[in-house]
Amino acid sequence: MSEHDRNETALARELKAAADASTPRAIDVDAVLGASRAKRRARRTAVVGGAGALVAVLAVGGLVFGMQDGLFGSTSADSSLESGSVAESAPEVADERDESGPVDAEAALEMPYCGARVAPTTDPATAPLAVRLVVPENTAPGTSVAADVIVTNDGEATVSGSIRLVPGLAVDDDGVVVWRTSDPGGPGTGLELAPGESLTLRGSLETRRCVFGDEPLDEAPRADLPPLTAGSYGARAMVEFFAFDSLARFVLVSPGEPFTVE
Amino acid sequence: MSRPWDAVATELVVERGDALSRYAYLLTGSVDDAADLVQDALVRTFGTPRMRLTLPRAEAYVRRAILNAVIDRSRRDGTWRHVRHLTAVPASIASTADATDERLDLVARVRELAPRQAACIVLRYYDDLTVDGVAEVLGISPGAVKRYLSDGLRALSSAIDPAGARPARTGGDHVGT
Repeated sequence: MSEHDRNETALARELKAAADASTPRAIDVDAVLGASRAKRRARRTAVVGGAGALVAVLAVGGLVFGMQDGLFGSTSADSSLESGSVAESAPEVADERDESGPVDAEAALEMPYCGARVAPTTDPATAPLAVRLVVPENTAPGTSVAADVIVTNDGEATVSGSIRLVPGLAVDDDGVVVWRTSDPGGPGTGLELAPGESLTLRGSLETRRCVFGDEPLDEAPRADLPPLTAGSYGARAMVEFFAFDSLARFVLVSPGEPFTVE
Repeated sequence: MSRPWDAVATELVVERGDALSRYAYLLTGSVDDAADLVQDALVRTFGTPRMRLTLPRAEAYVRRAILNAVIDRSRRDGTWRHVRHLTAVPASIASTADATDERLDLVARVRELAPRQAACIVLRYYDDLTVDGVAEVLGISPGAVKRYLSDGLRALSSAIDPAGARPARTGGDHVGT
């Protein structure tokens, strides 16, 4: 046995001895279940209730939400929003449904951590909406880059639901996340898209590099990250959507969009 | 009515609760902190809807949540972390029978590592996971795991006693955070 092997064996032995000597405090299962249930309920209420309005988008690309720091920014779209498209109140969706329903079954993963593999692109066959990201082809390192996230109904039937207005964005280097925002968030707003219609959400990404551990769970990376080195990267968007017909939550992931840092 | 995630959460706590607590303990050095971290990580995991939440996936989520909390805490405590070895002798040194042993307590040294190095060390050598297994649990590449293990082992090498001649550690609560 080599010295390296002996060291590994000794390390394992001492870790086990230390861990075994500790007496873990019992975990309160009821407290965990209760707190988890409350957190899920609050999250669902935010998605379903949201701004409380059902927005009918009447023209392709007809509505653009500009987002800054999780709040509504300027509405820089054409006039379709003003053309009488804000409609009736959002349908009531009972929040006390059994949580074993479609919300759990269809819920998807969150933004991958810095250093993790990117999330797989959503299979269009299984999602009610398609997501596409538009970013400049060339960007400078260490800067903030505007990104348009276009949500389209490519299906043959009208899709209605509630969408979170702040998309999640991630930059990857050969499939490994090197920068990310926090998870999709912001207020949930009622949405109705006829076949072929689309909605544009706005966000921004940073051409900076993070590594695993640079962000606490559910939060964005720090602002003091080093700039990306020159080269080719990819960007992806995540959008959270709650479908009224199936009462299912979807986290829709766009295909990777290449761009160059130079 | 029982919910699927209720059942997974309950099963995870019953079957893996102690393992999770000991993992957190090795990263924090405090039984109470470990329990709080595990409980919070469980709520974070089961408080967010997730697709196909099986027991192994749930455990991986909880372990990542624990590690992220440790990383977050170490960042907040960064200043103290950098200087505390200058001002205090680890409690575990005083508690050993062999007063002439000049090596620092190995487990305390693990906690002095960068959190992701420590997590890789604990998962690899305490939980006996393979490199690929550690990578899967932490959501990082196997190459990154190898680097963390290599760096961690190098940092610990002076504290490792291959012959096992040192007295076994006793208790855990005495080790300060």
